[in-house]
Amino acid sequence: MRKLFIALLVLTFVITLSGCKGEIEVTEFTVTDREGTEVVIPTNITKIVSTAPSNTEVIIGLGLGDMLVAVDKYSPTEGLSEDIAIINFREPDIELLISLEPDIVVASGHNKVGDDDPFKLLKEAGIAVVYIPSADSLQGILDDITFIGLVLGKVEEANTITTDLQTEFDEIAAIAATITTKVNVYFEIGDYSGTLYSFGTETFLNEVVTLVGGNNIYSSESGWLNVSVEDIISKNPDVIVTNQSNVEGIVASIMSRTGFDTIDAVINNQVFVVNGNSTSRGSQNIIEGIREVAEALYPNYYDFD
Amino acid sequence: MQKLCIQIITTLIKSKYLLLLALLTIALILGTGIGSVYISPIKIFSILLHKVFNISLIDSVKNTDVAIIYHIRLPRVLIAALIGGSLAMSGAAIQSLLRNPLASPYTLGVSSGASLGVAIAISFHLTSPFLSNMFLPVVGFLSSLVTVILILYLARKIDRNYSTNTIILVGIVSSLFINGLLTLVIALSGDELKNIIFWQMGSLSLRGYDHLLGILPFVIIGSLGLLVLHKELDALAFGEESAKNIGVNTQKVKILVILFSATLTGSAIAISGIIGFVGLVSPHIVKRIYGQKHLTLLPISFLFGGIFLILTDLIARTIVSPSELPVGSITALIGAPFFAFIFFYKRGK
Repeated sequence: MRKLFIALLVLTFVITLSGCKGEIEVTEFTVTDREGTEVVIPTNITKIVSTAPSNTEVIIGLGLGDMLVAVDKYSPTEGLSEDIAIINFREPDIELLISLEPDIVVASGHNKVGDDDPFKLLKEAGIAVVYIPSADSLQGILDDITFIGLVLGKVEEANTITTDLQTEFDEIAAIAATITTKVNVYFEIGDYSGTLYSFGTETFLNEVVTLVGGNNIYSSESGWLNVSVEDIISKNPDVIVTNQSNVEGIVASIMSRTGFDTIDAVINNQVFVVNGNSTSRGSQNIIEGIREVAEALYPNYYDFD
Repeated sequence: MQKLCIQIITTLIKSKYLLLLALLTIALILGTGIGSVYISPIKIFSILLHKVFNISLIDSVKNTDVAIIYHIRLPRVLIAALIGGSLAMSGAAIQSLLRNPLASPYTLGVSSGASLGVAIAISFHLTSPFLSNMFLPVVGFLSSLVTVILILYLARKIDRNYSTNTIILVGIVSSLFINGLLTLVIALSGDELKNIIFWQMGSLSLRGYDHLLGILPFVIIGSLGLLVLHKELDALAFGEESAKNIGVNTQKVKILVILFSATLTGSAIAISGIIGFVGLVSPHIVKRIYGQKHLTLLPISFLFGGIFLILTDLIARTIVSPSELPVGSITALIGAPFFAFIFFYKRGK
């Protein structure tokens, strides 16, 4: 599947000839980005702008961290140049970006508000902008990594990362296949003034839960969804996992919710918090999140230390 | 003897009060019974007997049923009744006081004040270990009261008589100003934006007995306060001059009515977030059916608002189950056509 994907992208290349004594030199090529837009990409890239944490992590993973000239304010910045420009996640400062003269902007579908393209002016200024919508499956994450590797000229490196990831997925799936009694999981990704958020199918987090051998109690729904308290109670999950690791005392606050004291997960102390960044960003670091979820659900089966 | 009984019952029905009490009972039963799982009235009854008199449960009742009925739905339905009632009753009082059919405590800055207070608390991560989950409600309540008192103070600076137009104008201008500040806080809040927006949309999710007990005293103080002033409100509804002529201290009454109404509305939205429409529309519907006298208008508005919010919250939490909709949007979506129906139906007659 992935090979086919690369082959298709390669097929879309347009080779520009710069006639220098008959030698063929490629200076740019055309790809179809992850949103389906055709973009002309320069082959010699030295300055990159990344506008979402997932993409930044992939770019750093490909060994291109020192080429980043600007990242969004949620991106990790450890190990990056100290004078790197920090831009807004939405409504980025276009003038600043143009002044940085990047060769390419790796943008996220999350940067958009509605259908407006926040980087339209950059495109008009002749800067290549590729869009990567947020992945809705683990395969999607691998494809995104492959794509970023391709446009940034790191096909080999990307291939190594994705092959390694796939191997690890397979190993985890093999362990999951040996699990006889599967647990029902309620995975909470947000509590906004009492409005609780979880997810159904067509999300990579649902695949994470399934991969390690859990049953998402909302697998009959799809996408991100808010869920009612009494519905969670009536579904009586065996384990509760949340990735609100930025909220202090989140486990205690979930366990003390009124009515939650009848849920098996709370009775048996099976409420866990996992890292919010590694479980919500579609990058190679998802494997960290997968391991955390696996160890939370089945400490007797998984041991990654 | 039999004849007398029938007579009493028919008068009760004719007086339209029994109808409303019957509706309230039905709403309470529906509100506690229906949800992501249906629980029969017999089971509900058994759970209540078990909890209150420690009578053993009937066999078919599961532990999760007890949790859902006793800890989730019952407090939620009771809170909906109190909040809907408070919004409707204070709406009725303010509309009469300001002799303006579009007025409500929201006109006096109660909602914008509470929103600003809560938004500041959320975006600056203010918490209080002592108040724990009652912290935001307390902040909301206090900031709405402070806002109303500031608006009254401003109005007094402009016009010592507190004429209705002054109050409305000062209220609206201050609300707009506070909303400007609110937008500023939200724009700068970054990650907490969702929390603030969801709070504003109004929800009764995850509200328990601590919230119920938290607002109960304020609801009692506010509603008793307004009921005591029912004659003065009757007089004021005819106009300020005539009220003065029969010896009503209009200034004092205005301040008291506004403060009691703000107590009711402020405590209500402190718990639920902003729920519109109930306070605006309930008094109009009640007036059409039960007349203008405040001795009946105020308590009936309370009952009506309570029933209305129980039923709209029921719809909000069941229509897209297992998800929930913000109840504030449902009150308007259901309320507006319902209001139009009552209005035109009565007119057609």
